[in-house]
Amino acid sequence: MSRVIKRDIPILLLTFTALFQAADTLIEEPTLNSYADSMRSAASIIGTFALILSVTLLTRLHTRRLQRRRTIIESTVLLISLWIPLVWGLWQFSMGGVSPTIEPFVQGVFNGIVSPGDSTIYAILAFFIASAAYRAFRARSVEATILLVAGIIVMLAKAPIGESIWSGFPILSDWILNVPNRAGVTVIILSAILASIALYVRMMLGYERGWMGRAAE
Amino acid sequence: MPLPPICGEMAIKEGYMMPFILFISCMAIIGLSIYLTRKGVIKPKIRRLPAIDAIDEAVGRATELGRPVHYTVGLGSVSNVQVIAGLSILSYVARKCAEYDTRLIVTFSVPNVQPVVMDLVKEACMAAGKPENFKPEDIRWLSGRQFSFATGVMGIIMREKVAANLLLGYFAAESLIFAEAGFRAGAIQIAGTTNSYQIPFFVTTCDYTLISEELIIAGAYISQIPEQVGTIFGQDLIRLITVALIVIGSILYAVGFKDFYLWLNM
Repeated sequence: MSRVIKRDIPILLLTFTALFQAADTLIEEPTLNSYADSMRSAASIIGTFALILSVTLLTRLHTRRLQRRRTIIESTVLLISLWIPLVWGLWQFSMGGVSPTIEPFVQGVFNGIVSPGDSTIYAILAFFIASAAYRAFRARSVEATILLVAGIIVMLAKAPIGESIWSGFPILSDWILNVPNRAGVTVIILSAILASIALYVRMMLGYERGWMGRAAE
Repeated sequence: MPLPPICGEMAIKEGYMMPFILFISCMAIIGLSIYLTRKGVIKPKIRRLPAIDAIDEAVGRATELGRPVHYTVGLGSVSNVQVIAGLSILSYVARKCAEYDTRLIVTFSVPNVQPVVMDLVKEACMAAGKPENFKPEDIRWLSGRQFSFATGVMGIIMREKVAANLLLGYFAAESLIFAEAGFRAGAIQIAGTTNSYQIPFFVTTCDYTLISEELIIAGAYISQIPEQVGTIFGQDLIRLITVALIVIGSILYAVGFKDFYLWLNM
């Protein structure tokens, strides 16, 4: 019984859902298309419930840390940031019907703290790219030398000084990006699609079971 | 020209006749490959994947140093194919870590990954005969926001001084942040994604990289179950057919015969 509930029913549900959604993509039939749309909405709603589990576990983790007097400042900041906007937003919604997404305090937290934080982390990428490029652009082998030359050409074409040095840099850069680069990217995409089809077949036949928290036999 | 209905109002969507035929053909080829592999008619071999072979080395190194292993499936939800592939590898990594009593920290961005990861790691610890090594507090949802998640992962890698950093799943702009943090922590790094924009970052920063399909087939590679390997054989057959169609189509189009191209776009 345990095997049926834990393994067979999820695989049956997956197979039915996968074939139903594939049929929705390929076939025009109003009832089928409408049910498939509802199924996608239901999946989003069910997935949202997992948030409750994650928030509970995160709260428990940091509450324990506070009890053990470890990472006091970080855990306090996290718990305050997690719970105050949530409770305040829900309170405002229940009292005045104000949507938490447009509530001024929650908006203030997002615009004043979250967004600048996001931008800061994104900006750090520039330095990481420079550091990674320094390591990559060393002509240790034939492949690395090709990468170095291609990188320099594309870099010069994108910088204003490149065109001043030689007007052919933008044309050469476009060729590198549109011919050899695009060919490589197409192969990567095509391989991934074919591998995905094989993976879905393995999942539907029950060989691949990582998605339901079980290892392969 | 609208396609004729199959029955009643049901009809193949316009422009979807060829995808429909290809979908059925792909399923049939993969199904046949599994059948032939199971019967022993074909015995496919998979080429070695150094990145997967290096997982044992990474876990062993973490064990020797007494430092944790960090594993992330990135930004995707449990419905994402790259995350599913990452979860298959996680099962193997969790079992190895449990066997060697090495701490494993798993991070992700989408909450619906949490119950699956909890189950996978718990089962792996039990399979290794070390249920006490399962620590729910080391399975961490950090944030649903991309860069908040990136900051959290970067912090964990640096604070915990991880000895192995495994980045296998769906990644976007935060990929380089993770990989650089791992590099600075001196961790052995194994990464994999199908996102062509992030692959160069991983190649330049990590010790081993699974490129595109290598990530997706890694689960089958680890299991070595004949039926699983059979699907990879089927996938390669489809690839050969696809390449043949591309070459024939290009030649025919170049010589002015455009019917083949129109037929493929039906």
